[in-house]
Amino acid sequence: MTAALEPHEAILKAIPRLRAFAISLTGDLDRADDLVQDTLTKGLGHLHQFQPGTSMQAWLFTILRNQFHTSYRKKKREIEDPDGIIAERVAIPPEQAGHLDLQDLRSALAKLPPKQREALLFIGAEGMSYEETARICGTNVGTIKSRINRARSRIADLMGLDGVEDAGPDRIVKAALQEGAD
Amino acid sequence: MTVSEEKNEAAALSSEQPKPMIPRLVQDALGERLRAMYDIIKAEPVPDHFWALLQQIDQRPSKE
Repeated sequence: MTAALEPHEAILKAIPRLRAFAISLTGDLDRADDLVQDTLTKGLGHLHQFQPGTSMQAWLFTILRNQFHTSYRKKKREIEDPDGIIAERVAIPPEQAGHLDLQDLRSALAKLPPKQREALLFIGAEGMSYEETARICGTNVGTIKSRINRARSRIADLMGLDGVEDAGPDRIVKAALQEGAD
Repeated sequence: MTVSEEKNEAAALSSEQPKPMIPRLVQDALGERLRAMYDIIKAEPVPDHFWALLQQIDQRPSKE
């Protein structure tokens, strides 16, 4: 599929998803676009390292998240956003955001530690597998599972999603059945 | 991440109070919202300077 594409064409096709990831990861449109731009520049500069037949999208995601974490280490305080302040001036214009829910989601995401946030985005929004997410994040499946469980619990708490399911008598059973289902 | 960082994280994870897996319905509700957010962002036009960047590099003679 993507393997048949010319590298530049594959890069072009990867941009919208890179942006969506970068915007959700940083919670800041300008910073996200800088990150995407750096990723594209770096990717193009190292195109000879890209293995034909593998996913260009995954390769660029790897570059992007590495760039992000490098700058995160550099500017830790700036990026930590426990109160969701950065998220307040996030990308999506209010008229497009529509649901109040999405505003809530963005500020909840900003409160997660970055590594939990990226795991949640890759798996929950991108629909990637644990294996692919682990490869991109340079870690193992177990760590990704821990991060995603913690991210989901925290977001569910922050957004009050727990109320989605009524605390019926079979709740514990369902939760137990859920264990290991992934 | 280095091995020791990973070990630290694993230790931190296991020392915390174990949380039950959140129910599938909650996971689904969250997934739906994440995808909705993504769809809005992906529907936005890609800024021109990205295209310009790629075109610029495309036209550059190959070094190889």
